[in-house]
Amino acid sequence: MPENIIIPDFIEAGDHEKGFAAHFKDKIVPLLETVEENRLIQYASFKIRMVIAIIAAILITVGAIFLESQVSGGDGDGIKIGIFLIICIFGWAYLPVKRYKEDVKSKFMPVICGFYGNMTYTLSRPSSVEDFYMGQIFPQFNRKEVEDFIEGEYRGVKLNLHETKLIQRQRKSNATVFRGLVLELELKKQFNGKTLLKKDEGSVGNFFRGEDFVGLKRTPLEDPEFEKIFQVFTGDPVEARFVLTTAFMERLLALARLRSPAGTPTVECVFELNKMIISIPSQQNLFEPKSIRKTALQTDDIHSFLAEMKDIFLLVDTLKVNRN
Amino acid sequence: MMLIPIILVVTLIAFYSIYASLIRKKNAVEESFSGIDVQLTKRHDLIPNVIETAKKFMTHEKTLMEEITNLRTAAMSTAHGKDMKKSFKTESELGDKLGQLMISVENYPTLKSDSTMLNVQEALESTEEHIAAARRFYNSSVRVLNDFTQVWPMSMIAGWIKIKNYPYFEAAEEAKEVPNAGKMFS
Repeated sequence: MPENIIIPDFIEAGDHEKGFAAHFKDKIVPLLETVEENRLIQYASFKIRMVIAIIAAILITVGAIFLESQVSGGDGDGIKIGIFLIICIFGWAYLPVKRYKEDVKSKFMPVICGFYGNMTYTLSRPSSVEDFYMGQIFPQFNRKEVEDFIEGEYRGVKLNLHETKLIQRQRKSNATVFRGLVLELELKKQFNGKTLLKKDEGSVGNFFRGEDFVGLKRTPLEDPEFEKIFQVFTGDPVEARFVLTTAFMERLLALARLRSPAGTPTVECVFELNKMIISIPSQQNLFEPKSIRKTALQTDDIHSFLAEMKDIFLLVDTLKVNRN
Repeated sequence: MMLIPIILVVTLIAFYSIYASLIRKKNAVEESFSGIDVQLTKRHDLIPNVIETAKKFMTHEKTLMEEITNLRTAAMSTAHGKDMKKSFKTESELGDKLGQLMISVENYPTLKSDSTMLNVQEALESTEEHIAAARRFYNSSVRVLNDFTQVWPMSMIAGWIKIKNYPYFEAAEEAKEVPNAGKMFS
């Protein structure tokens, strides 16, 4: 590494970053050089691979067009194979970028989570919650990609969070049917049975969705605003009301509006085994570092990660599950 | 000629549908009322533990504890009975007195930190919340039945088969008053 590298100072920008400057100096600064070294290696590899990929793409394209023109009555199979090969080769070219991003996350995120005390980060591990609640708070899918697992305690509430992308094979192509966050919160209340909160899709939407949640029946609640946005399905109407107090319904409404200020609220959740599991659709991919072209000796990524953590904690604060 | 039997059959089917719907809604109200009963029974079962634990420490609340014991006896005699309004009133008063007792516990630090008392308080809190939830469900069932029986021709059929409107659970008059914090903590 060159001797004249400049390690940046962390300037706290907002209440949510208060106290992080000292943590940055102690825990993150020692990692910056290693991350930057890795970035340079991966970037060099990426550039070489891109050159190879572009040349290969040109050759494959020319070859595919030539083959297609030689075969009479061809149905475009040559072109399809060519496209497939080009996608694969560019996928291979982008691998160093993926490795760099994973390196940044696996080094910085545990340190950031450590700042909040009792919290850990794992880049990737198996998750079964999507399978368990498929057809309830998650749509039908046959493949999933999960990452960014954060687990720990925030203001006395045990939480578990990760990002998920659910894919369903449809005829000849794959479609992303859900992308977003899965947040599990342990509630203070001990309750029985299962209560499901689905978004209200209007008379027509609800009719076509049906009410085929096994063992659960539609239970209208008293709050008319709540009933406009959510539909409640439960196996026990008393337990559903025990969990969904009038105060908690207000907080759920606040959460739904937080996530979708202008549009139709899309948050759904299930209450079971003393836990609340919330599916929060989001097109944004959280905790992603900036471009591999930018130096790692900067604090933009850290500010971005801290802002995303703040948004997650805001969800928990809005629900006030530490109270009941 | 065919028209009269068709009208007759349609009318009979409509009548039967309304009759069956009324019976289902009435049963839902009674089921939800018995749901409240289940929770109230849990509360009644907890009260002796509360009183026994509190008695050891709370020397100045003898009157309050006697009132709770008497109300518990009265509540148990009106439970599962036909007089819903009386049952609601007694249970509401019992709930208020229990609330006053729990507030009084705050004046006794030794009692407040006693593990038995803590367990009983937690159980009581959960039971009270379940009672509130059961009452909400009862009111919801009553509203569905009352909405149905107040519209013609359902009101007419309800009258024939003697299905009445059920009372809503309402807080007692004392509970509706703004609490006097000074009086509570004196």
